[in-house]
Amino acid sequence: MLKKSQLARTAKKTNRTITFWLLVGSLSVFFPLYMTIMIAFKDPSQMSNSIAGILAFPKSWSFDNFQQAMAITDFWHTLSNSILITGATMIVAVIFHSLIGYAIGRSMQKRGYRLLYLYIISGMFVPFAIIMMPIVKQTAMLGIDNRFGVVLLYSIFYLPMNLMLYTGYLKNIPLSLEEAAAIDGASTFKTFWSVIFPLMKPMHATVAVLTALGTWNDVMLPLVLLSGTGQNTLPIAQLNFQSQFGTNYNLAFASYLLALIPMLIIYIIGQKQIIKGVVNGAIK
Amino acid sequence: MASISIRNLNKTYPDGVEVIDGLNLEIKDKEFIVLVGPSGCGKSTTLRMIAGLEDITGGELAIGDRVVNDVQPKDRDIAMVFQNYALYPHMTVYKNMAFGLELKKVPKDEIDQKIKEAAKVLDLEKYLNRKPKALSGGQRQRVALGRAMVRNPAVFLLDEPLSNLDAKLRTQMRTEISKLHRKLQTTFVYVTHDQTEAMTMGDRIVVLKDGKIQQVDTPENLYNKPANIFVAGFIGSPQMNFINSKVTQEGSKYFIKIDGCTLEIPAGKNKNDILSKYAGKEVVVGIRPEDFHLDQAFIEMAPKSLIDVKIDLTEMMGAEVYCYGKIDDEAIIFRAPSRFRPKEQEEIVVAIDVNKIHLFDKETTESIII
Amino acid sequence: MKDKLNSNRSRTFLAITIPIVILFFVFNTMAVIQGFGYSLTNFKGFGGYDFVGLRNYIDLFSDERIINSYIFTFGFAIICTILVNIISLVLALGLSSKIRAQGALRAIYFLPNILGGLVIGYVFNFFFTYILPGIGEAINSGALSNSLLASPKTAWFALVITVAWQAVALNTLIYISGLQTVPEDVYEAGAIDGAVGFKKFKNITFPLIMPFFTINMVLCMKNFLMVFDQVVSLTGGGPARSTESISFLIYSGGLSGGAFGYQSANAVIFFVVIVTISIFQLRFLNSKEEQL
Repeated sequence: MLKKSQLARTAKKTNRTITFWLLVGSLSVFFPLYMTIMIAFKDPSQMSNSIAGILAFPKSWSFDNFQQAMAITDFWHTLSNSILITGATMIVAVIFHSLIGYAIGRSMQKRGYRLLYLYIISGMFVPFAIIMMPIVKQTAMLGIDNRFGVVLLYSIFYLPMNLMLYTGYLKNIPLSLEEAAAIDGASTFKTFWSVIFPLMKPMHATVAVLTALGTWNDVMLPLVLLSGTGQNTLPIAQLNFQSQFGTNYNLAFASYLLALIPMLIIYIIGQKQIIKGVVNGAIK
Repeated sequence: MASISIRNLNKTYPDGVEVIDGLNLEIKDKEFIVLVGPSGCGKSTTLRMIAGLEDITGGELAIGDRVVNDVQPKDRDIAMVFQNYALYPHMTVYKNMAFGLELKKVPKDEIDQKIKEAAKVLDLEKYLNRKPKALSGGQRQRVALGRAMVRNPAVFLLDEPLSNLDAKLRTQMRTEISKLHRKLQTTFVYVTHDQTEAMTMGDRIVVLKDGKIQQVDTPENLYNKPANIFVAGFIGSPQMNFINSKVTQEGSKYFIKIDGCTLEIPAGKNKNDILSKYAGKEVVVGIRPEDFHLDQAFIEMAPKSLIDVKIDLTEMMGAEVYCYGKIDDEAIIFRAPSRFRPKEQEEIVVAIDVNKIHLFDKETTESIII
Repeated sequence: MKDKLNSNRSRTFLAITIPIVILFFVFNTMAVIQGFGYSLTNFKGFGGYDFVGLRNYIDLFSDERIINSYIFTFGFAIICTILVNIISLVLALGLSSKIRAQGALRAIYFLPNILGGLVIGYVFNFFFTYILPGIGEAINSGALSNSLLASPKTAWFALVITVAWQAVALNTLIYISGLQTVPEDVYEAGAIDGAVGFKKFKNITFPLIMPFFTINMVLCMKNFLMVFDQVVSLTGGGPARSTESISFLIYSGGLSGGAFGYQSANAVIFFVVIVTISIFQLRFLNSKEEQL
């Protein structure tokens, strides 16, 4: 009898049990971050050999590691490069990808455009590895093995996905709105800017989030294009840093934390938008 | 302030489908004309050609004195109300109405004045700062009308504007649009698939089928003098009954036979002795549901036009009853005052009002006598 | 909106499309073609080169390093896909049930997705090198007290954990949105028919979120086959080249290893493999969608 009543109670309290286990599980998310913070604030002398020593709170919270890491990685410059590249790509994606999404999406009754659409979409399956080497050659030849080139190439690599998202979304916007605009006297461009572009807002958010996440964290393209130009992005700076100072863990982790912080801040602020954007993009 | 003349209009899509075939129509200035027909008849296409949203494959379209075949929609001096309103969802009601005027570079205070005027007429003053999403169906409909009004167009084009509204609102908006037409004194071209809308609103009605005009006439004439079987069947609810029959001649008198009953066609209907051509030939007899009579007085008055009907089903509509039955295995429907509600499966005698019957040529489906 | 009257519109569309398509052709399609071109040469990445026909391709198939990297990458991708999907599904079910702080918990579990794979690799590198063996020693576990990264037999597993830690985030979220599409009344009808507990999941929930399962499979396979960042930062392809993914090998062999032409051939093969798998998966996806 006791057992039965216990069962009934646990059944009622299921949601608490699940909450508990999910909270426990979330430690696996926090632990690496906790570890990073703890190490970043210590100096090597505090890193006794035991893990307890490594994971304990530092005796004094020191920002020395950060200052040093910032100097070595040229943090502000690197950060501004990352922001510049990601921001520019995001803007190009939202403006131009929506524009071409509109042009192609509204011309799908024509066979040529349908083929063109499939052609561009198929670009999604091209692994970066195959175009990596020709891209290095091409950009060097054209003199765009620089930040501009990186933005240009990102804009091209994200075109297939964004085109698919925008043309898919365009199907929800009734054609009669454009006809009303035509009667109102709007040109095709004016119709796009005044009617279509504002209506694509939910998709702009998705595209912006996906494009930004992808470019911000990308390693490969800046690695092959920007190495040696002195214009690093945050991930590349970590890569270079690691090969030189990798054994000074306290310094290294301060640098990692610096690299993670911008995204963490943005996530804390725009967490709902980001989650929504990523899910929209994945499901569509 | 503008008539519309459509001369020999053609529309063929690139895939070779011909949707409009040699359409001729003169729409008078200030007229309320309704294009009606089943879906796919080309009524919307015609309207969209007038608007300039569809290309004209052949023929000529003039608004006023100006041929507008190659004129952009915005330069045609027209305004259009769309089926789903096509309001810009991200703009306020005010902005929706202002958009076209702003593009025309109309001064701001003039825009403001026009919108205020329209809002007053349409009772939208309270909603000018709302977005379409926050409005009811009827209010959205009025905004769409307002957007058309502020353009001050020579021609109003309305594409099934009431089809998204519920039945009650539709009746209400019908009268409002009619009122608006009277007030604005402008040409209205109105497309609908609903014959009730057409009948109640139009000065004249254009019945279309398969891209061809079947009849252009006033609502009364369309109902009383349908040009062919299609128009006769399309206009009126419940539908006109069609019964196959044969014309017989005895001297100068003509008869039709229905289920053993021989009806004499009143001589007054036989204009120019047209029936002589049909003597001995198969025809289609058309009888409106209200031209069957059950009351004793009528039956006694017309002993020669009585007919047996077996009732299958009756539908009580309130003031009257729709009776579904069979004459000689052909399904018919007639209306009777509700006090005469027959029982199901009952055989009853009804009188046909021979003065109201229609005869149609079986081959051409054209009307012979009306 | 058709034909010549709207030629203005068509012309505008064409004017938008053409330049963008040209750019796409130059930096995507032409690059692929060029990559194929290089694969037929013995180009080192610098200096002159000769045409060698299909020799690179023939050599690829007898190159143990290449074969190993394919075996590793596929094994890694498959194990990681299975692991990630199981964990994600469990998490999604948990996060979709009536729990406290649902929004916050979802946000927490999604966090790893937004962090860069490279830096996360470095952090986990430290974890596997110092923390985990430390724990192993503390609990006297011989297996754990050696770093997973030190042995070719276990390094792949460390990579799986690192990659999965991040990938679970997105997959969980996709499953959650899948679960939201299942109407409550279907569960109620199922409950009346006696579908509760695991039966409910097997007979009702899972079939209904099948499309999301497929999305996750496709996403996982594609991303895991192209794994690069974490390999660079966690293992560097080692130890003893045991964790060299295909992308990593193409990069390291082609750009810094002086085998540009040879690795181009590898990239072409890799491309064909990816396309084949993608087409296969899309077919599968479509047939599933038709069913529903």
